[in-house]
Parts: sequence; C-alpha cells; structure tokens
Amino acid sequence: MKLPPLRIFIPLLLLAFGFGLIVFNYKLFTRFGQDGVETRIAANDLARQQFVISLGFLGLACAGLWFGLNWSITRRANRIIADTRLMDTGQPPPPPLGGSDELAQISRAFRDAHLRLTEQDRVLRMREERYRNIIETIPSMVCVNRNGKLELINDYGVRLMRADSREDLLGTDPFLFIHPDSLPAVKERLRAMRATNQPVGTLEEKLIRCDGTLVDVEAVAAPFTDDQGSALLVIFNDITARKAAESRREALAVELAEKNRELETLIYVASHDLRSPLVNIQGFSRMIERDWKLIDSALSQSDLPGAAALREKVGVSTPKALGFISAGVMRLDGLLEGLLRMSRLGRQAIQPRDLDTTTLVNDILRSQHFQIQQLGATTRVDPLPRCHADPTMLNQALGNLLDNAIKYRSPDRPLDIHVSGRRQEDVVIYEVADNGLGIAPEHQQKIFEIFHRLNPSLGEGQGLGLTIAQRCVERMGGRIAVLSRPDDQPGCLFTITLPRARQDT
Amino acid sequence: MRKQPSITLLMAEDDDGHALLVEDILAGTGLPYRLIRFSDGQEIMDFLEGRRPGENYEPHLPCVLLLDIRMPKVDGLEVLRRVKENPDWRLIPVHMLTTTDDPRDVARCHELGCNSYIHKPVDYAKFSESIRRLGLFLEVSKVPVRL
Repeated sequence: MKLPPLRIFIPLLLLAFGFGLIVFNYKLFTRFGQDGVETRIAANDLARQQFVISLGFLGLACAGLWFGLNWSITRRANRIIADTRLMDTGQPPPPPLGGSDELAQISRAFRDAHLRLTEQDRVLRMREERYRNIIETIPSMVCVNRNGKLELINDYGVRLMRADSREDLLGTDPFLFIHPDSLPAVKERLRAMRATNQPVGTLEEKLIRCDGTLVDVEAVAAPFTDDQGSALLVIFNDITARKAAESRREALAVELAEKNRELETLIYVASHDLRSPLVNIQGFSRMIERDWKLIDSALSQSDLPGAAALREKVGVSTPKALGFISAGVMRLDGLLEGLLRMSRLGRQAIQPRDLDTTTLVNDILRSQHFQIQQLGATTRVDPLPRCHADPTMLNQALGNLLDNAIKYRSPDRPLDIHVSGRRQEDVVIYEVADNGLGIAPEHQQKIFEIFHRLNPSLGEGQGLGLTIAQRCVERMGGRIAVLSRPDDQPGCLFTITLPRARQDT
Repeated sequence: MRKQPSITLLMAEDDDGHALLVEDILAGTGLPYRLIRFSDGQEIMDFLEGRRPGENYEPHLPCVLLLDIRMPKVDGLEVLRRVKENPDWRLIPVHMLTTTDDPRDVARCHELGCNSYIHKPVDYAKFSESIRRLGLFLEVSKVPVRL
C-alpha cells in the first residue's frame, strides 16, 4: 500500500491530532462536570483541558495554514511546469508569473534562460546554415568519406556525378566511382595520407558518373577528426576543359614538331640541292674565265680583221659579267649558310646553368683585344649580376652585340662600349651601350629580321648577327631589345633579359 | 714506274656538272687515275654486283668510291651502308664527296664507316683545292686489294 505524499500526510496527521485532542477533552470535561464527583480534581483538569484544547486548535490552524500554503505553491509551481513544457515545444514563451516571490523569480529565470537558449540556438542554426551554404556554393565537388562510405556531398557534386538525388550517393562506397585506371594511384595516396595524417596535393583522376560516362577531375584530400571519429574531406575539380585544352595543345605540339621537321628537311634540302647548281655556276664561270683568257691571248696575237675591236669590246665586259656571277653566287651561298646556321641553332641542345657573366664578357673582349686596341676604343664592364643561361648561347649573343658595336662604330669619335647589368625580381637585365652610328627609331623594328642589313655597304656580313643573338636569347627564355639611348646620346643600347642565377634566389 | 696499278675511282654523282668539274680538276693534277662515273647509287651498286653490261667490278684491282649523298634511287648513305656491310667490299675505301656540311651527315657517314668526308664548297677556288688535295691524298695512300 502506497502512503500518501508527505505534504498531504503531515497536515492530515495534524488535523486528526487537533480534532482528536478537542473532541476527547471536551467529552472528558463534560463527563466530569456532570458527575461532580471530584470538583477539586476537576478544577485542575479544567486548566489542563483548556490547554489541550488550545493545542488542538493550534493543530487545526497549522493544518489549515499548511493546506493553504501548499495549495498556492502547487498551483503556481504547476503553472511554471506547464509554461516550461509549453516553451519546450517551441511555442513562444507565455508571460512569467507575477509577484516577486521565489516562484515568480524561478519563472522569470526559466523564461530568460529559455529565451537565451533559443537565441543561441538560432545563432547556431544560422551559422550552420551559412557553412552549409558555403559548401553548397563551392564550384567543386566536396565530399566527406567516413568508414568507407560517402557521408556528405554538395549540390555541385550531385550534379557533377549526374545523380538523380543526393540520397542516391550518400552511404555508397566512394571507390565505386573511381575509374580502374585511377584506382592504384588513389589507393597509394590514401595509404600515404593515413601514414602521415597530412593533407595531400592534387591528383588527376577519372571518375565514373552515375550515367556511366567518365569525367576527368583533379582531387585534393585532407583527413580530419570530429565527434564522430576520423573522416576524409575530398574536393574534386572538373578539369574536362583543361584536359581538352591539353590534348589540343599536345596535338598542336605534334603538329608543330612535324612542321619543324618539315622545315628542317626543307633547309637541309636547300643546303644541298640549292648549293649543287651554285657549284656548277661558280665552277663553269671559272672555266669560261679560263677559256676566255685563252681566247683573249689568241685575239691579242691575231691579225684577223676586227680582232682588236672584239678584244676591246669583250675585254672589259666578260670579266665584269663573270665577276657579277661569282659575287651573286657567293652571296646566295652566304644566305644558304645563314639559313643553315639558324636551323642548327634551333636544334642545338641548351644546357642552362648559373653563369658569371662578368667573366664571360671580359673573355669576349679579351679575344677582341687587338682590334679594340687598334681602334683606340675604350671598354667598360661593370660588375654584372649572375644569370641562369647556356654559356655557348650567351657567349654567342653577347659576342654578336659586341661585334656589332665595333663594326658599326662612328668615324667621328673614339668608340666607347659600356656593359652594365642589374637584377630585377626574377630576372637580370644586361645593357650593352655604345657611342657608334646608332639605329634610328624607325629602323629599330627591322634589325632582328633575318638577312636584314641596315648598312650593306659597311663591312661584311649576312645580316645574321642580331637574328642569331635574338634566337640564342629567346631559346634561353630571355628577351633582347634595342632602345634609344637616353638624353640623345649617340650610339645604341641593347638589353638582354635572362632568368637570374638559381643560387641567387 | 709505279708498282701498284693506278687506282680506279668509282664516282657516284647525279650532277653532270659536278662530275665534269671533278674530272677536270683531277685531270689538272696530272695524276694517273681511271675514273668511272655513275649517275646514281643504283648504277654503282649494279657495277659492284656485276649487273652492268660491259664494265664490272674487278676485286683484284685497287679502287676507291667517291659518293655524293643526295642522289636519286639509292642515295650515298645507302651505298656506303651496303658496301661496309658486305665482306667482299668493305675494304674498299669510301670517300663522301658532297655539298652538305651538316654535322649530322658527317657523323652518320662516319658511323657507317666512311673513310673520309669531303665537303664541296661553292667557292670554286676552295672546291678545286679540296678535289686536288683529295687526288694528292689518294696518290700517296695505299689501297687494300684482294690477292
């Protein structure tokens, strides 16, 4: 049998006790009084009875007070309980209990706590929503894999994989989507990542989409741990466009290599087949010259009429004509030779390394020392920054610039050559300046053209020096340019820009 | 006079002019050569293999090959390769005589076992000097013969 709760039991006990005392004593009092047997004792009893009855009434009052208090507390407490339950269901909180007693304070405290928690909850939800939005907005496929199952995938991923819904993908084995060709690399990478617990860089993979088509992707992955344990974040980027561009570029490279081979064959054929007739023209001109000399000497001794006149007529024109033929042939041969040199330069292997350019320039100048001294020229070479280049190619380029400075000097003033250089971020820039004839700005465009000579009358040459210099510099990943000298100084200024020495970076 | 019979020059040259010039220059040296000219690699191979009516290769006579590289039908490189691969012919000295001075050709010919590589310059003075020196060189060089 279950006892009633204490809060009911105690006032009931008090009530029973009060009533019991009053009723029992009243009965006692009336019996003694009526009988009148022992009035002395009865007087004493009366005082005692009065005390006990008062005690009974006090008990009753206590019980009443208890009931009253209990009723008011229970009512308000129940209200608090109901309000709290209501708030728990997510309804807007009702107004708190009035008054300033403890229960009212509890009610207000509950309400405040509820409001604060609701606000915190709202902020958390908003924050989560924001992160979710970010992940959904990322234009890459974002996946979380846990225990060999796909746990999260964003919208972009669902679209990239051509799935009907996200649910089709969640919970599946991510390996199912990796093309067999890519599987070994992916597994190897997973092993490496497990060993180091560090993110891994990009890996190109092929994925099989839900519709069976393939897509080229580039993946990065990073392991992480949360309250659910360890998981793997993988981000895939669609590289279809890049792959297409790459294959186009490869096709172009193949085509270009093919064209280059064609060009080389052409130049090779030119060197032989075009030269062969030149050997004949030159050789047989000499034969004609030789024969003509015989005719000439025969004519000089001949008494035939008109012999002297004939000799006078062809005596000058024939050697002159033969001279032109010979010069023309030699010029053509020179041009063919130039073409050949250019073509060989193109296929010569380059071996770039860190170079001490100051020594290189000084060595070139030393080899031209005699000529420089003869001309009374001055050369100044500043300490030059080191560069990363092929020594033969750079030697050729700088050598050609210095040759030109000497060749195209001005007759009006002693030649002065100044070589300087500076470093600028990842490159070094060398300057070769002279005070020679210079190049008018309107001609500066043409000077790098093959076989182009600004002053064909000046010295010998095939118009190749600057073309070769440019080819050399460009093959080393550099640039060559001609600038006008500042402040209207005479002469020209060439700059060569090259990658700077690796050790200096 | 000379104990060794005069050398026979077997020249494969597709350009008539070149052949004439070479003949002319060699004649100018006054050296006693017998020169047989072929217009392409096929003709010289036919000669070596005895498939030409009239003249044919006689193994006991000293001879030297002068080969141009670019020729119709069979080119000089191919003739050189076949000659050096054949045990009957591989002792025959082979001199390349060509207008190309491409280093790759020079290397290729030496790989195949040519005995020298002579460039025919366009400049006639240099050309005739080269041929003249070749003649003088052949004059003093001993040519292996089959006994």
